[in-house]
Amino acid sequence: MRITSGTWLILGLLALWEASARLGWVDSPNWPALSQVLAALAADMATGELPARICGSLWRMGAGLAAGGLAGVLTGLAFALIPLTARLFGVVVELLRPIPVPAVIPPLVLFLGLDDPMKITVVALTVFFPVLTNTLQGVQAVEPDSIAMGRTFGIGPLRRAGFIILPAALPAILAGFRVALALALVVTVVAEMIAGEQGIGSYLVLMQFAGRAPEMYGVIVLLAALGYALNRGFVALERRLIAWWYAAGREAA
Amino acid sequence: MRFLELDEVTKEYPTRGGPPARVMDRVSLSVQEGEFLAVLGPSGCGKSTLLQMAAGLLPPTSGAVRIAGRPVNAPPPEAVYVFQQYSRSLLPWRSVRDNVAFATEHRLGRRRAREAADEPLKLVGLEGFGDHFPWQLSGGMQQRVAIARALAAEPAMLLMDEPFSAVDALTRLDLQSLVLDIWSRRRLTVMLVTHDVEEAIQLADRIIVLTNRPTTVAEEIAVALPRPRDPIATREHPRFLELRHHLLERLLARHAG
Amino acid sequence: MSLTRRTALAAALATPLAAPAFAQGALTRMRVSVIPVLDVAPLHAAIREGFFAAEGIEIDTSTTAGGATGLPGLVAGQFRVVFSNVVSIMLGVREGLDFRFVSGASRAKDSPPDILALLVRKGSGIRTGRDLEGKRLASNTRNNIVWLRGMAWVEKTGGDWRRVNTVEVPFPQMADALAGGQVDAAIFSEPFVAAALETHGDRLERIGWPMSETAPGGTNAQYVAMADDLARNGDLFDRFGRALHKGVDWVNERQGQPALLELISAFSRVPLARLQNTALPAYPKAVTSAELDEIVATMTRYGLGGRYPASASLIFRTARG
Ligand SMILES: Nc1ncnc2c1ncn2[C@@H]1O[C@H](COP(=O)(O)OP(=O)(O)OP(=O)(O)O)[C@@H](O)[C@H]1O
Ligand SMILES: [Mg+2]
Repeated sequence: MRITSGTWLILGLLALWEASARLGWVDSPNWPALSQVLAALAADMATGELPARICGSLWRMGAGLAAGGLAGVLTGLAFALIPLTARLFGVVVELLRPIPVPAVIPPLVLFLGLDDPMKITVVALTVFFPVLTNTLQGVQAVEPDSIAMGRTFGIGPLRRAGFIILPAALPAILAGFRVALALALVVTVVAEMIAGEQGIGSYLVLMQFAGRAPEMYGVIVLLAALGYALNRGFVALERRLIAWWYAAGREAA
Repeated sequence: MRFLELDEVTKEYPTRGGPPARVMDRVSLSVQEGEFLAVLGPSGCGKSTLLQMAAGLLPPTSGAVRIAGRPVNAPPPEAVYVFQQYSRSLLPWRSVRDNVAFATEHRLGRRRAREAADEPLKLVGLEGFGDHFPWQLSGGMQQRVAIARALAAEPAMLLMDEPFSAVDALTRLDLQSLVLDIWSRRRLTVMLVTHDVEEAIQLADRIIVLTNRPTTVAEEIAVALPRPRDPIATREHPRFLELRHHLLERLLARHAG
Repeated sequence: MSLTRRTALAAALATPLAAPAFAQGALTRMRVSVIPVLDVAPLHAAIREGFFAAEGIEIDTSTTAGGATGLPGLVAGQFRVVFSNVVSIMLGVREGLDFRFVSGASRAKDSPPDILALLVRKGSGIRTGRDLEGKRLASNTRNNIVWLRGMAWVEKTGGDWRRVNTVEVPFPQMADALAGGQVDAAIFSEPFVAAALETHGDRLERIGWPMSETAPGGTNAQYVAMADDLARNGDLFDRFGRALHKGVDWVNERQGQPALLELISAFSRVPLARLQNTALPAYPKAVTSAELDEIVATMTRYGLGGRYPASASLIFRTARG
């Protein structure tokens, strides 16, 4: 494997972390050395506790991503293609958009409880807006000629939406999903910190209260790695789903 | 028999604040079944607008459009519109074969539509390119794909919007011969709009010349050149030269005046 | 009849009646909101030792960080029972919420060491409440039992509590905030006292015991449920109380023994070694009118007064001694 300058930077920062704790530059029990952190992480991975929690968190994140993403795409399509829906619901969406997610948690708890429905809804809400915005932009940028092309062949509006507009807007929609993915993991963990015993978030709270800094940082390191892996995985998926877009873009350039 | 009829068609576009802009003023014309009609006009005079109204893609402000005797309110099954910008109407995520199949797969199903795509691809000389993607092809080849796709729908009439304006001169001659060949073999009716005088003479039975905006019909001329038309010999024919002189004079005079 | 024979007889009589209802899968699920602290040891003991299962109850604990979602969640019907500190409960009662005490949870021991400690930086010269006037004092939340006992300590040691600036700092961050100089003193609860002295012992020192110095044996936290739920499902809560109190017995019988510390370490994840230096609370079963009257009086003294219902009316039968 080729070691890039980015890798060197990360290795350097990690070495700085280890040294700062070992040599007492940062002198606090809440600043454990990297080696201690990794040992704690390995220990809780080995017992199977963390893997189970990670799976739970990923499940909740995935469910929220799917629900919020689907809603975002459908709403975006409806807004762009059926002007009446945009006139009816556009204002509502614009009013809800700027509300920070933490502010909607109390009413969500009231209506949905403290379990998965609430947590998944929090994630779904987070995902909904970037996907909606990008879907709208993507649909509005679709070539009018390609839509007229569908009409001249007698292709109906639903099929046009599914086979012309949606694929054409897919690069923009996927860009929205990429933004949403980064937020979704964070919000899942935050939602799990509110209540309940499941997931990475609850583990973070528990370890914080138990004063176990190595475990806490271990899970933070894990989250960073998980976020990175998810993004890489998504980019790989994106390259397969819209290979034509990357290829056509290169041809055009 | 009149296949396509435009009867006193007027088109206005709304403008911000002011009165609506009249692009087309009571244009009447007709295309006979099996005829090749060329509509010649300066850039921006409303050729695309006219053709889109004929294709049922754009409603006229007033007046009537009829195809095969029936009024046109939506795109009719008899006529297919071939776009000026092939690159915008081809779907880049579909292979050449799947682009052609797109014209029929909502009626035939995906498998039969893909099978049926082979014949029109062969007709436009693209056999062997079915698995390529549009962006891997030259502009001329992409326009061939668009023509093959139109043919796949087996229309009685093609409405062609400057289909060769975006390709180089040699490719244009090549595509013109192809269209003539297909027109005669398939006994199609064609209405082609263009600003290219030679193209209109080379291809059409009859030419309609449009004025500048607000557009009306300025003149109607029968080409009266023998067929089949060889791309080189026809261009040296006295009638060709005479028509070219006349039409260019008309178009340029209008500009000067 | 010996005690064991009587118990055995009772069990034999009870089993045929109870068995169908308590069959596998027929356990009544009760969701209980807890905080991951020492005070809930009896609940975890009762879960682990099967006392709840024997009563046909399955306990589903839900941990909330600062206890923020506990009481609101009880009102909203998310929880059947909530563990909370007495001040927060009584403030809810004052606002008209129908909380009822179903069991005691923890109180101060009569003499130090107790579960709250007031820590300052070594060499800061702060020794009394009077020294704290104009200084910044950290409490995990304002208007809870930690804060209230802290204010009482300030007054008891000659200070004016109104002149002390309370700063909210979560327990896990208190030691760093104090050592780093962001606050001048902090009221810690166990096991954070032990943790702070273990890790910052060279820089921090303890100057007071806010609980045992102001209210020896004073109340700290309880379990509450909603009055209408208790009215409709009194039997369920009787069973809950019985099981929980067996857990209290289990814990009290093992005071000072490794088994108790192992239990606490298992649910709280606090390292066992640290727990050996940690002061534990007393674990009462009952809630008394006297302790509630004491807390209302103290709250009134420190600006949390108002119209409180008669203490006795707030205590469900499971919490009467
Ligand atoms: N949607 C619209 N709104 C307002 N004006 C329009 C609209 N579409 C076209 N026009 C105007 O109508 C006129 C005719 O447009 P059209 O595209 O039909 O011309 P054209 O002859 O096809 O031009 P070209 O030779 O460039 O293809 C132009 O002046 C254009 O500005
Ligand atoms: Mg045009």
